[in-house]
Amino acid sequence: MERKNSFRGIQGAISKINPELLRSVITSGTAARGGPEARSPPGAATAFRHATTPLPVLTSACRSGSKGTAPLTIFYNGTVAVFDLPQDKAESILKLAEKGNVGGVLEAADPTASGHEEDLLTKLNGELLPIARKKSLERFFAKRKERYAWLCSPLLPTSFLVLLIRFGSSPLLTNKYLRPSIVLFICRPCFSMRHVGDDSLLSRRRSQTLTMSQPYKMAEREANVALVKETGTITAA
Amino acid sequence: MSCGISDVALDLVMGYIDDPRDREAVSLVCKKWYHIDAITRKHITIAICYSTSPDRLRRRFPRLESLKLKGKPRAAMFNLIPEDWGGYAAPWVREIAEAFNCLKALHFRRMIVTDADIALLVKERGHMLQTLKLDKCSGFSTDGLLLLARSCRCLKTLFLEESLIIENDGAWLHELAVNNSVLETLNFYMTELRISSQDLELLARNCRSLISLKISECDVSDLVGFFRLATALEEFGGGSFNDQAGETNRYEMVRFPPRLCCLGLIYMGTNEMQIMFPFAASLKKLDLQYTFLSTEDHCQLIQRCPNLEILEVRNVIGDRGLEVVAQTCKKLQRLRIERGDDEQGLEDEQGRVSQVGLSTLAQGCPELEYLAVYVSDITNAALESVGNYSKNLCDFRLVLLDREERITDLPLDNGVRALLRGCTKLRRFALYLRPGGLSDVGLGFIGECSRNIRWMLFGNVGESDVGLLRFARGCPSLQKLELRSCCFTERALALAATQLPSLRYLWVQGYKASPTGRDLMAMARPFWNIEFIPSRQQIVYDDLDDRPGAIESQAQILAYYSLAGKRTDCPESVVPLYPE
Repeated sequence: MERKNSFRGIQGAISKINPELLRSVITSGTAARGGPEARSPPGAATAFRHATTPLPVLTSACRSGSKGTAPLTIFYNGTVAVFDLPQDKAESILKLAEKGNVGGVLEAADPTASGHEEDLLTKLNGELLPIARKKSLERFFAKRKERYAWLCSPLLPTSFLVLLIRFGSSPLLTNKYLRPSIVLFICRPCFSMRHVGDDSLLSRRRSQTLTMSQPYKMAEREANVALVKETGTITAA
Repeated sequence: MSCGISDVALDLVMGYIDDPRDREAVSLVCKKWYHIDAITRKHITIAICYSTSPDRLRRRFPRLESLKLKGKPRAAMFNLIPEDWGGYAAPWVREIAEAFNCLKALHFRRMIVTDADIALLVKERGHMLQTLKLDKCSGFSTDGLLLLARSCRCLKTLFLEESLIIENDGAWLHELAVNNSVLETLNFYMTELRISSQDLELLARNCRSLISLKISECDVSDLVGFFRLATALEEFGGGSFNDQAGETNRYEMVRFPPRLCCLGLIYMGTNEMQIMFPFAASLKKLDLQYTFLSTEDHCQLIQRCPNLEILEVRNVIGDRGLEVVAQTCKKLQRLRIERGDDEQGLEDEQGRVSQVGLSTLAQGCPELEYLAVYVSDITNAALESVGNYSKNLCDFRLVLLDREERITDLPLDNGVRALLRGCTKLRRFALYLRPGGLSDVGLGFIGECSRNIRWMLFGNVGESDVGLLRFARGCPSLQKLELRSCCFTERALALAATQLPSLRYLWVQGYKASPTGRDLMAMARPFWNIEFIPSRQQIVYDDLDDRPGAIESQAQILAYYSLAGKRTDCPESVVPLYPE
């Protein structure tokens, strides 16, 4: 239990110190000597070894930095970090790991970060990966959101109200050939709404969202928008 | 002595043998045949550019006329590979510039190509280059395109689809229109390049053989002039629709060229759909992935297209739309049903594809060769249907979406087996499920029944290492394996890699890592490169949220055979692994 607590402390501490603090701990002497800084992949938070088993010696060869440093690759539970370190610094890291005692610098770390780190580890090890999305489609969906989010802007000029009133008495509404139900429409100077089919029309994050489930359902919006669409053609507000 | 065949005859006969596997067999007969194959081979595809070196290629095939190189792993199309992973075209371009003086066609896919590379290529080979494809590439700008446009007057095909291009200006298109008169295919689809419709019209006037044009976004109403001039055009993709208030007839004037049979229009909505109706019956290829059409729209449109051979849609097509496809498109060869947006808006409730649609489709379209589908629900019976009816299937990909909690019929062991047994021509196979989707027994079935399959992608399959090892006892032809989000341990992965007899490429993301990371080294052997991409956390700024989000990317293993030795150009994000 004690060891587990110390691991939480270690994990939490590492999450805080990586990359900047950890870098400073490791290279405090190195910087002064002008040697290369430790490189740790951004965000690869924890890479710490169980105290009772030796650190892995699986390293990536042929990537030594200048001036007698070598890469130290640390695997922990599926995460890995790579550091270019001189011999003495590597040894002190190994000693630290073996001792399980992280010393003064790391204890100053924020304990609240540990929760997040553990979640990250659990996630990286146990949870399913979300189904990856194709770049081209992602871009399309983002652009579509942009187009209609703009349409949903709460800043509607009051002149639309005038248009609306004019439109309200338009013969289109009274046209007997017009389909009885009406559809959603936004009064905007440049765009008229059209049915967009399956997926979301608008982001919910916008304060005023239009909803449109079936093509010919009316919805009302705060900003006094009403919609009429004649079957087959787009009509302007 | 060559079996009594004279050298001249051999030369001529070999000219008719194009299939690379036949050629490979031919080259192994004896030294003389090896040599003749080497000097008569016209085309080479290198599936991963690090598997060999430019020098080796030149030494063996000095008279190559066409070369295709692939760089980044396929997962790069899904944003899973760091941008700086590698796949640099530079060393290849240098060799091409120096030595390949018969080269007429070049295709780089998922590689990093710089303006300097293009400049060198143009300088040495520009006068004879007929086909250049920079396919999902990055690293170059419109300046490079300008050089190409000015100097490559024999260029018949320029393909830039989905490349990340730094845009300085639109002059390249103008130069292309002015300097080239033989262009047949121009493709900058899914790029962000901005062009002027006047330059397109100029292109149409000068390049009378233009048969395929796929562009970035440009309002279709501005293309009226181009369509009128490009009378030979058979394929068009891109454009965009932006109807403006008050302009009810914005697209009324659009008339497509008479021979047009392949079409894909971006942002097309219900109201614009009817511009396709006059020639819908002659359509052979239709891309609706980037449209705003509803399920009903798909039904309305597709029922007018009885000659369709290739169809690409999102799952908004729904089971209902697939029914229409099955009834109407009897000649359908390729069907791709992509995944719609997940955003919690109001989805067309018909916009989901399930076992119902799949079964109907299989029965209705016996000519299907390629089927890729994102389904919301599935049963074994549907897969059996595919196995029974889709006898021409060469490529089958099924992804089970994760929205529905309950799936009608899992695991899919029997259905998968029936499908594999029925579709004997299958070469490529992908199955992306969820835990419980396929048991270890099912994985074993795949191993037993996949005699000719060369590429496989699995997601969330199997229950344990037992399944993977059973799988690895079979699959005699499997060359390339991609695994994602599976529960296999490093040890099992390494073992499987050594057991699969034809495996030359392995990509894994999501697995049970060993405490030391050493288990992976069980697959270490000569000529086998192993690369590790550690898990990363990327900070992403969402335009709509104000807070930055973090995307966690799990660790990846990439391993492949290479005659070129270890990579020397790995970025920080890639860790090559060696045995001690």
